Parts: sequence; C-alpha cells; structure tokens
Amino acid sequence: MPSLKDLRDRKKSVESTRKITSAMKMVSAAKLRRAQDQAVAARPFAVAMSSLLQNLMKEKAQLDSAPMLMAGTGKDQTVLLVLMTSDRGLCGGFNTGLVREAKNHIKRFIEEGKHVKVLCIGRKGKDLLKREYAATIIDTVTEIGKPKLSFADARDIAGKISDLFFHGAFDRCVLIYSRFKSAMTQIPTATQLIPFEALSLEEVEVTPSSGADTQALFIYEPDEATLLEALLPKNLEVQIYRALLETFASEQGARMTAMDSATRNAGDMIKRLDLTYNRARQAYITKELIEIISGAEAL
Amino acid sequence: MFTYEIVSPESLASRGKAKMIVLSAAEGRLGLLENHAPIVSTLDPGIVSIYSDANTINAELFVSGGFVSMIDNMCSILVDEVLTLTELTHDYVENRFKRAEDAVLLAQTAHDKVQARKQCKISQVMRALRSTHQI
Repeated sequence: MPSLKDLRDRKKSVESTRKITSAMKMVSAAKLRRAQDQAVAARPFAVAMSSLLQNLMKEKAQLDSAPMLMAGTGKDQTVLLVLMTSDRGLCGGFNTGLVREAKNHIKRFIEEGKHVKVLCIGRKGKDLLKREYAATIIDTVTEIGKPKLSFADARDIAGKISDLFFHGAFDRCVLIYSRFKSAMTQIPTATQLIPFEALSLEEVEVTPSSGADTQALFIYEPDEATLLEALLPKNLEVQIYRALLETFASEQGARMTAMDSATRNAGDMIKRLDLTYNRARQAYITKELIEIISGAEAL
Repeated sequence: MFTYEIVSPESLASRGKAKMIVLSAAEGRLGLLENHAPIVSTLDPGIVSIYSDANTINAELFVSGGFVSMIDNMCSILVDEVLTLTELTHDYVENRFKRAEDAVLLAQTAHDKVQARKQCKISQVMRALRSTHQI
C-alpha cells in the first residue's frame, strides 16, 4: 500500500502531464488550422498545373521523344522510395503507419528483384527504418518547414530527386506520404513521381474540364516538347509541395487526436488516484481512532 | 472583358477581369485579348500588364517566369513569384543580384547551378526594368 505522500506526488505528476498534453493539443490544433489554410491556398496552382499538363499529355502521342521525366530511363531496375514522416514523435500511430507502408513497398520491390534506395524526409522515418533497412537509406532530410513550410523546401527536395535521376541513380521514384482526410484519419499513400503518370483525378480533386476545351486546338509556344520539358520539373515540385503540406497537416491532426486522448486518460487517472488517496486517508484516520480507543480501553 | 488569374504555388496572387493582358512570353511580348485562340506558353521574367480598357493599365506586376494559358476566355498565369513594382527598390534588386551571384559561385549540384543562374537572370531583368520603368 503506497503511503499518502506517494499518492499525492503521483497525482501531482499526472496533473502536470495533463497540462503538457493539453497544451500540445492546442498547439497542434492551431498548426493544423494554418496547414489547412496553406493547403487551400496552394490548390489553384496545382489545379491549373494539372489541367495544363493534361492538355499537353494529349499531344504526347504526336511527340517523337517524350522528356526523360515522363518516358523514364528505359529500365526498371532501381527504385527510389521517398518517405515523408515527421521529425518528432508523440503523434500516435502516424509515423508507424507510414513506415509500415514503406516497408511493404520495399519488401515487394526486393521480391521483384529490384534494387531499392530510400530518401527519408523527416527524422522518424530514418529511425524506424534503420533497424531493418539501414543499407537502403541514401539520405535523410530533416527540419523541413521550420518555422513555416514554403515552396522553396519542396523545390530543394525536388532538386535533390531530379539530380539523382539525371545521374542515373534510379529508374523509378515512388513517394510515400500521408493523405489528410480529417483530424482523425490520415491515409498513408504511395504515388509514383517518376516516370510521370497522369494524376488520378480523385487525388487532385479536380473536376474533369468540360468537353469543349479538350477538343480545342492549342497554340504552343515555343513548342510542345519544350513546354513539357519545362512543365514536368515544375510539376514535380508542385506534387512534392502538396505532399509536404498534406503530411504536415496529417501530423498535426494525428498529434491533436493523440494528445486529446492522452489528456482524457490523464483525467481518468487523476480521478482514480483521488479515490485511492481518499480511501487511504480514511483508513489512516480510522486506524488512528481505533488505536486511541483501544489504548483508552486498556487503561 | 475576360477573366484572368495569377497564381503562385503558395497563393492566388490576383484574379479579376481584364480587357487586355500583355506579358513576356517565350517568343516576345504577347498581348492577349478576348476570344484569343487557345494558347499555352512559357513566360520569361518580366512585367504583366493588365488593361482595364484599351489605354488604361489597371495593374502592373513583376513575375519571375512560369507559364500562361488561355482557354475559353480564361487566362491562367502560373508563376514562381509575383512582386509589385513598388517592391523593386534599388536595395532589394541589388541585394538579390548579389545573393544570386554568390549562389552561382557556391552551387554544388547541377540543380543548384540552374536555380542560381535563373535567379541571376531574374535580378538582371529587374535591374533593366528599373531603368526603363523609372521605378
């Protein structure tokens, strides 16, 4: 039976934990709001970009040679996995879910006899992967988006990836990020970046453009091939930016939910401790009374 | 009149109606009027002028390059960066030019070099615009 002092100390410590978790929850909620605003602001560009690309892709058939980013290297031997996670923990199953998705992919690629390389965006990805797949991790980028996520961050990552690609370090690039559905639900999602595939409409949330303009004959300046050559790297940046925003929003959502339940659990624990403490105090008083009474009786 | 929007990756910079838009496209200055044939073009660093009628410039913005497309009287201008002309002060442009020059020297990877040269070109255009537009 713990002493009254032990119980009091324990309650105090749980109370301060509750204070911390509830503060973290509020910070995450504020960050989530900001991330959502950013995602909304980034949407018009992504939508305009994907409709431009879709129009150009239709011309692709007439092109003799598609750019490398679209056609690929002609091989499919080495796969680069870009894994986006958070830098910090305390966000429930967020990172574990992403890493599990990554591990499934790595396993599958290895079974197919492919060579796998991993680029970790976020410290947690590296920490969780290095036990099993330390040899596959080629680089880790941390502290992205501090203090605020900007397009320049995405540009740096995209630059890293395309440098690797044009040096022949890999043939295919798959991105694993967390799709933000709600503060409660985040979906680990894999999408292929290189060679470029037309985005599924559901992912970009674009309604298909009306039939009229898809029939239109375009004037291309300078010409289709040059335009594609310029658009595809930009599109890579945009996709990475979007994924970074979604992953960041997901992280905050996951942390908010995790901290909310931690706060609630701390509350329950305090209630239980209160009960035990009061009971122990009562027992102590009763014991003292009995001692006094029996002492008086013995006289 | 037709609708235009200028968007950067981080935000929607401007949206509205215009009589004419003049911008620096791949093959030189390009004027877009209502009912222009569908067009897609790359954009060079330069000024985008938005005309509210034939002779009145409603707004002038500096853009650092990107793409323009016009379909069904909807003009989308996708740019990396948008600045108002008042933002192009002497100090700003010279600082930027200095930074870009340093970046060219420091660049390690191919991507960094390309980016740094692009920045150099942008600040050169800014410099030239400052003298021609008397900002």
